[in-house]
Amino acid sequence: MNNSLQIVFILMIVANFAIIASSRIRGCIKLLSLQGVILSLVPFSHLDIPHALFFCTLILVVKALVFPALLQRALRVVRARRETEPIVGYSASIMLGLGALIFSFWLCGRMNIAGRGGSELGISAAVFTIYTGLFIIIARVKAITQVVGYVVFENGIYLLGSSLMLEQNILVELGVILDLLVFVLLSGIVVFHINKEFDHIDTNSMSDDGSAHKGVLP
Amino acid sequence: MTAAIILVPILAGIATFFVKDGRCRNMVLVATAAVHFLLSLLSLFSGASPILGGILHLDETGHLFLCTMSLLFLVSSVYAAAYMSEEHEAHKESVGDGVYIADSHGRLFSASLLIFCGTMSLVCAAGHLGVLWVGIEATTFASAPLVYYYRTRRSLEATWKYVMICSVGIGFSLIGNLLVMVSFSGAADGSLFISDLKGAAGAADSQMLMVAFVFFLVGYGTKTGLAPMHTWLPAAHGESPAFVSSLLSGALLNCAFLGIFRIHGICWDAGIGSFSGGLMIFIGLLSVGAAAFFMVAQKDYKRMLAYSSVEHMGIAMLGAGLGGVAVIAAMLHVINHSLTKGMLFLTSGNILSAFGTRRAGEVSGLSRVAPETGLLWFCGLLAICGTPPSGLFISEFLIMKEMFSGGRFLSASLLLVFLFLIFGVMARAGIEMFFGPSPEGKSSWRESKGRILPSLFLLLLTVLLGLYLPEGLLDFLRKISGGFQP
Amino acid sequence: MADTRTMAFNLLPLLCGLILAPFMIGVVNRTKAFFAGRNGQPLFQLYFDIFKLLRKGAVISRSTTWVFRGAPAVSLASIVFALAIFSFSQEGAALSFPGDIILAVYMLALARFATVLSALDTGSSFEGMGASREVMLAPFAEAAFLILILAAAAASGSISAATMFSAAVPLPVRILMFVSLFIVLLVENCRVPADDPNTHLELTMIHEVMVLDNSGPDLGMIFYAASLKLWLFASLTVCCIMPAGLTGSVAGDIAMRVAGVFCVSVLVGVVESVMARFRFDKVRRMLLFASALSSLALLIALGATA
Repeated sequence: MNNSLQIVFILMIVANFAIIASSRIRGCIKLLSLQGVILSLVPFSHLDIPHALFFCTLILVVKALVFPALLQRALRVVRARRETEPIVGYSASIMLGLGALIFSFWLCGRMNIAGRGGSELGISAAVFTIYTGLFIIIARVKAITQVVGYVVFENGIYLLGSSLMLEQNILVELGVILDLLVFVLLSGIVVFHINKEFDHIDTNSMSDDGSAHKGVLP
Repeated sequence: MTAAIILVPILAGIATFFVKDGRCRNMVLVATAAVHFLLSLLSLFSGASPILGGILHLDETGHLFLCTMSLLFLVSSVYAAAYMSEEHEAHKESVGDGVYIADSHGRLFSASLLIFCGTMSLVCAAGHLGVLWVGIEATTFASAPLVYYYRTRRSLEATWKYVMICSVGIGFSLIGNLLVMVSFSGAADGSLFISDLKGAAGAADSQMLMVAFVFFLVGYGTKTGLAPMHTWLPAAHGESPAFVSSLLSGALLNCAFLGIFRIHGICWDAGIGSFSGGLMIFIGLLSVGAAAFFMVAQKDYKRMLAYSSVEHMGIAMLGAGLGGVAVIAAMLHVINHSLTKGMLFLTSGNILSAFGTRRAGEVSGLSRVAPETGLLWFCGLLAICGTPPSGLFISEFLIMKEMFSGGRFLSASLLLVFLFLIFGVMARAGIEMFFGPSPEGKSSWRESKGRILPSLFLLLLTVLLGLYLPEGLLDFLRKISGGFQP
Repeated sequence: MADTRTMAFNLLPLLCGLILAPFMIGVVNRTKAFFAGRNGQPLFQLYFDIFKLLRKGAVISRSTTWVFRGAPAVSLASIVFALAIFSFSQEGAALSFPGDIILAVYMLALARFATVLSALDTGSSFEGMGASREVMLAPFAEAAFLILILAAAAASGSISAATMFSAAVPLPVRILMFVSLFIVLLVENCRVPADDPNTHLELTMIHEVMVLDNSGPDLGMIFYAASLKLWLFASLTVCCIMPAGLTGSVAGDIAMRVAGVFCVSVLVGVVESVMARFRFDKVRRMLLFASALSSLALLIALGATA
C-alpha cells in the first residue's frame, strides 16, 4: 500500500478524534467539512482518473461545501448555543474513541480483510469512522450535532465501500451521496421546526409530557 | 405494467401538490389508490415479466406484498378522504390533544401519501438489492411528513426519532449490501440482482454472508420494528393520524420485513439458512416478549396497538425463520396482520375523534357513545389476539404447530406465555372501553359511513380468510415457501 | 584512534545540546517579539541571566528543609542524564544500552518529582497549587509520550533510543509521532496553550509558580534545566521527521538536527504568538488527543510489522 493513501486514512481517523473532542458546534461543522475534503481524495485509490475526478468533485461539493453551509445556516437561523452539549464528557469521549479505535483494528485484523483484497488500514479507519458517527448521534444532545454524527457515519460507510476494493460500487457511491443529500435537507427542515416549536434544538428535553416516551433518542 | 404500478402514484402525488382544492385532492387520492389496486390485481393475474434487465421483478412474494399493501392503501385512502373532508368542514375544530388542524399543509400531505405508496410499490417490485435498499430508504423520507401531520411538539419529536433511527438502520443495511458484494465477489462478480445471487449462492463466501445478514437484520429490522430497535415505532404510530398509522403498521413494516425475507432467501440457498433462521427466531421471540412487557404498562391505546405491531412482526419473523410450512404461515400472518391492524388503527381514529384523548383510561362507554365504532374496536381487538375465526388464529396456530413438531418446546412455550399476556391486556382494554359507563353528559358521536365501512370491510376480510382459504391463495403461498425447503 | 573519534562523535550531540539550549529559548523569545512587533531580548539573554544568578547568593526560607535545597541540582542532573540518552547520531549516543529509553523516561519523571517535592516543601499554598496542577497533567503527558515510544519501538524493532528513531519507522507513523510529540513538548515545557511562561499571576501558572521561592544559583540551575528539557523534546521532535542517518555523515546529521531544533523553536514561538492559553480542562483534552495519536501510531506500527 502506498504512503499517500495511508496518510489519507490516518487523516480520516485524526479528523474523527478532533470531531469527538471539539466542544463548539461551529468547529464541529468545520471539521466535518475538512473530513469531506479528506474523503474526496479516496476515490483516486481505486477508480480510473475520469471516474475518480467525478466522485472527487461530487464529494467536495456535497460534503465539503453544501452540507457544512446548510448546517451553518441552520445554526445561524436557530441561534443555538455554541456548545455541542455532550452527554458523555469530552475526555471520556476521547477515551471511548480510543477503545473503539483499538477494537476496529483488532476486528479488521481478525476478519482477514487483506486476504480478500482490501486495505486493512482503510477498513479499520472506516469502521472507526462508523463508530464515531454512531457515538456522536448517541452521546450529543443537540439535533444539529446528531446530524453531524449521521454525516460522519455515512462518511464511514463510503470509506468502507472504497476500501473493500469492489469494482462495481459506483451505484453504492452514488447511493450514499444521494441518501445523505436527502437526509440533510429533511433534517434541516426538522431542525428548523424543532426550533420554532421549542425555542431550542435540544432533543433531550422535548418530551416534557409525562405520557410521552422518555429518553428521546437511542 | 410494473413501471406503471410504481409511477402512477408518484406522478399523481407530484400532481396533487399543485391542486389547491381539498375535495379535488381527496378525489385524486382515492382514484389513484383504486387504479393502483386494479393494476396490482391485473399484474397478479396476468403475471409480470422482469423489466429494466431484472432491476424490477414482481415475483410471487412481491405480488403478495404489493396486493396487500395496495388494498390497505385503497381502504385507508377512502377513510382518509372522509376524515379530511370532515375536518375541512369542522375547520379549526379541536382534534386529539387540543390541536387545531389547518389545511394549509394538506397539499404536502396528500402528495407525500401518494409518493409513499409509490415507494412501497418499488420495494415490493425490486429485483435488485440496491434498488430494494433505495426503496426502503425512500419510504422513510416519504412518510416523515405524514408522521408530522398534527404539527405538535410530540409529533415533531416522533418524526425526528423516526427519521434519525431509521436512517441509521438504513445505513447499517447499506453496509450489509457492501458485505454481500464482498461475499459474492468471486461467485456473482459483485452483482446485486437477487436472481443472480440466488443462482450463485452455493459458491458464496458463507462467513462473510453471515456478517452481511446480521447487518441486514439490524438495519431492516429497525424499520420492521423488531426489538430492541423498535423505539421509534410507538412514537411514530401513536402521533400520526389514524390512516397513516394504519399504513405504517400494515404496509411499511411489511416492506422492511420483505427486505429481510429476501436476504433470508439468499442465505437459505447459500446453505446458512439455519444461521439466519436461528437469528430470526431469536429476534422474533425477543420482539414478542418486549411487546408484551411494554404493553402491560401502556396507557395510550394507539401506542398499545403499535406495540402489538412489534409483536406480530416478531411472530412473522419467527415463522419465516423456521422455514418449510411455517413460511406459509408467516406470509398468511403478514397479510392478516395488515388487514386487522389497519382496521384497528382506522377505528382508533374514530375513537380519538369521539373522545379527544388517547388515554385508554379516559375512554369508556363506547357502546353508547359510538356503538358501531365500539363494536368494531372490540371485535378487532379480539381478532388481533388471534381469536378464531380471525385469520391470525390459523397462522399463529400453524407456526406454533411447526415449532412443537420441530422440537422447540422452550421457545414455543415462551411464545404462548407472551401471547396469553398480550391477550389479557388487549381484552381488558377492549372490555373497559366498550362496556364501561359512558362519561356524564357525553353526547353520542355522529359516525359517518366513510369512517365505518373501511374498517368493517377489512374486519370481514380477515374473518373470511380465517374461515376459508382459497385454493389459489394457498397454491401461491406454497410457491413462495418452495424456496425454503429444509 | 578510531575509538576516540567515535566517542567524540557520540559526545558531540550532547555537547551541542548543553551549549546551545539557552540560545534556543532566545530564538523562541525573539520569534514572539517579532510577532508582537517588538525588538525583543538579545538572543543570548538566558546565558547572561544564568551567569548573573550563579554569581549571586541564594535566599532560602527558614521553613524549608534539605529537600528544597537539593531539588534543583537533582532535577538538573536527571535532565542531563536523559539528554545524554536522547542525544544521538547515526553512530550511537553518549549513553546507550538496550532499554535505555525507559531510564530516560524515569529520569524525566524524577526531575518532575524533585521539583514538585521542593514546591511542597516551601509550605506555600500557591506553590502547592502549582504542584497539584503539574501532577494532574503529568500522567496524561507521560501516557502520550510512553505510547509514542512504544510505537517507535514496535516499528523499528529496537528498544534503544539511539536506533529507535530511525528511518526504518514508516513515514505515516513518524508524522503521527511528530504531531503527538509536539503537543507533549508544549505541555511539558509549559508553553502557551498549556501554560504561559511569561505570566506572573500565580493563579494561572503551572510550572513558574512552583519555583517562586528559588533564587540565586538554584534558580539559575532551574532555568538551565528548563532550557535543556526544551532542547531534548525539540530534538526528539526533529528526529521524527528527519531520522538519524538521513544525510549519511555524522557531522551532517548533527548540523541538520541543530537546524531542525531551531525550526521547532520558531514553530513554538509562532504557536505562542497566535494561540491563547487553554482552559485547564482543555489542556487535558489536548493531551488525550495526543495519546490518541500516539495510540494510532502504535496500532499502525503493530499492523505494519505483523
